[in-house]
Amino acid sequence: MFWKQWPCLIAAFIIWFSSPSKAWSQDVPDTLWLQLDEAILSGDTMPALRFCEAAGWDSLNFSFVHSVLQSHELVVHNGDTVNHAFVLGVGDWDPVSLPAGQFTALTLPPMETGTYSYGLASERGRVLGAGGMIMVGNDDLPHFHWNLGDWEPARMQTVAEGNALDGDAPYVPRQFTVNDRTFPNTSNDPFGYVSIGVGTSCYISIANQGSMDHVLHFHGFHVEVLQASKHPERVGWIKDTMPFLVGEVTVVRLDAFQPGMYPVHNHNLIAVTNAGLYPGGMITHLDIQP
Amino acid sequence: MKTRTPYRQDLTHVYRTLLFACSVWCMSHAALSQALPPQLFSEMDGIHFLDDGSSVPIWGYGWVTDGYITLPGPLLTYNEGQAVDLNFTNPSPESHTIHLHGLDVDQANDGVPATSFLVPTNGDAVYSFVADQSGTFLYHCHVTTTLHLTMGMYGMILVKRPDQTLFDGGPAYSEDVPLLFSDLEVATNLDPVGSFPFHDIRPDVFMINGISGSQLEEEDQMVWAAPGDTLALRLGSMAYSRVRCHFPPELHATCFMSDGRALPEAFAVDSLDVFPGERFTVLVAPEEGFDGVVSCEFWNMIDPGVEDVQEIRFGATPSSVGSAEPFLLKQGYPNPADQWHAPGGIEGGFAGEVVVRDLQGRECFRGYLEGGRFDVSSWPEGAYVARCGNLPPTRFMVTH
Repeated sequence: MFWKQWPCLIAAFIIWFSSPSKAWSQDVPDTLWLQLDEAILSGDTMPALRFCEAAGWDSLNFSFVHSVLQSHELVVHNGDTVNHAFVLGVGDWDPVSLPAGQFTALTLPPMETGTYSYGLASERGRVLGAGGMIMVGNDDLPHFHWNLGDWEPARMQTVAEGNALDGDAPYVPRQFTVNDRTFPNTSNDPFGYVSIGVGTSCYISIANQGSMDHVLHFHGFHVEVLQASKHPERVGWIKDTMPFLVGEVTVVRLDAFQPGMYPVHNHNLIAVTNAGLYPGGMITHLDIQP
Repeated sequence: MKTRTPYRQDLTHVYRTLLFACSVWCMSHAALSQALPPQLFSEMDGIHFLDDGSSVPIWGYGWVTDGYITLPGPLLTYNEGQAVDLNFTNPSPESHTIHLHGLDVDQANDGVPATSFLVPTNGDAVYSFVADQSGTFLYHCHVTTTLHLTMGMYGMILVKRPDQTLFDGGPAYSEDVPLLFSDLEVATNLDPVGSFPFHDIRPDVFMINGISGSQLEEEDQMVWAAPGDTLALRLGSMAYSRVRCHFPPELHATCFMSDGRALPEAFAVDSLDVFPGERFTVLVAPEEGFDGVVSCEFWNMIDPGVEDVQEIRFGATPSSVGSAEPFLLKQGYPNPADQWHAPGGIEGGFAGEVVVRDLQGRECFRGYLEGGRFDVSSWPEGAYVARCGNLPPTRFMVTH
């Protein structure tokens, strides 16, 4: 009888509900889909390349967790119209060619605890925004991630059409994103909006996948730098404001000693705007619950 | 023995509770009003002189007792462990706040309008916090932050230890030398209302403690060191630029702190990048007779390249005379007028249409002038911008 199953269902629900939530992370996929389509950011429509978890278009790049020192077979489908090379920010790992329209099998190497960026080797890949993070280990606490980006739609259109960029033209980014979202949409991001209880801690991985350096300021807290790929001397520093050079990957630990809602934002203040309108862009929040 | 009914006991309890609460409120209110005269105020009608002799309108903070605002705002100095009530009053035409950058204050005192509170026109506020960590911090307005910072609403905070060491167990030093990097875009300051969109603000004036170029070469802006002095350079940035500081070997520079925290290991430094919002404390022990500079390159954060170089000039003195008075600024106003003002600077007066706006962009006058001038005797005091046809705008100050 159906009603006899209710206790089991309720028990299963209780077990599921009371188990540690990992809403902030996504597991390593078997296949990544490189897709070319359009992204809409705060009213600007622009061509974009994204690494997606599924065959359908997703304007958000896929970042995921992976186990320490475990290799993993990964298939990447290049849905763009041109060939690419897959790059991984791990030591001397060689780029893997991704022929257009083809599936390519590659092996993620065993990686030490830390966070690593992945993306495309080409200017087209960088300008159109294909890139994510692989978070290895650091799984004893909630682990959020912020993939930083900056976007100039006109430049993206040029690149999408297969044309070369004018090297002398000034770069004038109009949109600034955390995990491919602009504020206030960053508040809807389960992977970037830091929501933890007071007295607890979390990790935050931060990668600058953009075309310019960025700098984030934490309100209410200092964080400990655990990894800074382009500032190794800063490991162990306690900071409230820190730079992220182009391509840099950083991991910090936040100990939430006080409750409240605290912004984290770019302190290069052109980047806290959406197409020039304040507030917007590279702002997210630490939501520390009592 | 007299007994009370439960009802009466409840009433007594309520009465005593109310009495106690009122007493506490009155005492605390009285204490607040006695202990907290207004300290900082904000205004939006300041004028700041640049190295080339021109001036730009600024918004900013000032001491209430001084009555004028400065760029940067006054240096705030507290003792480690001090419970601080920073009393702020805002007579300016727009709302402002004070964000205590790096002090890890609670949400209520964080100075972010959406999560704490705004201080409206003619409003007062008290920011309360404990300065529990020595170090270098910043403060700034967090209302429409991109614009309000560009206009000048920022300053530095030092939290010091009475034993003149940098931190518990840290090195001792002789003097603090606050060095606040910032920049501004002249066009934005001249026309803040027209500065939208903000993402294309590109600074063209690069400053240390609000001054640049030859202004930094004046004696009262130099850093003076006597033999044996160890100076604490308090580096902080409110710039849009990355600032790369180059320390000559004769300074024996060592970096001990960043963002108000001791570094795990101090390190000798010959160049140091200070990004927007960052702070560093660098101790220097100039060799006897050292007479040189720390050059500071302002790098464009968007299209990397050096925009400008400013220099912190050091001089040797036979005995310690102290460093330059931090943030001592020259105040003055262009074209002061109390009754008549002739815009355009044209002999005989400008014949075309004249439009005058205040610094909030509000139109104050539009029309043609008789005799090339107009009567400002009934205008409110403040700074104004007059546009005469296609001529460059001119600024003037109405004082009474």
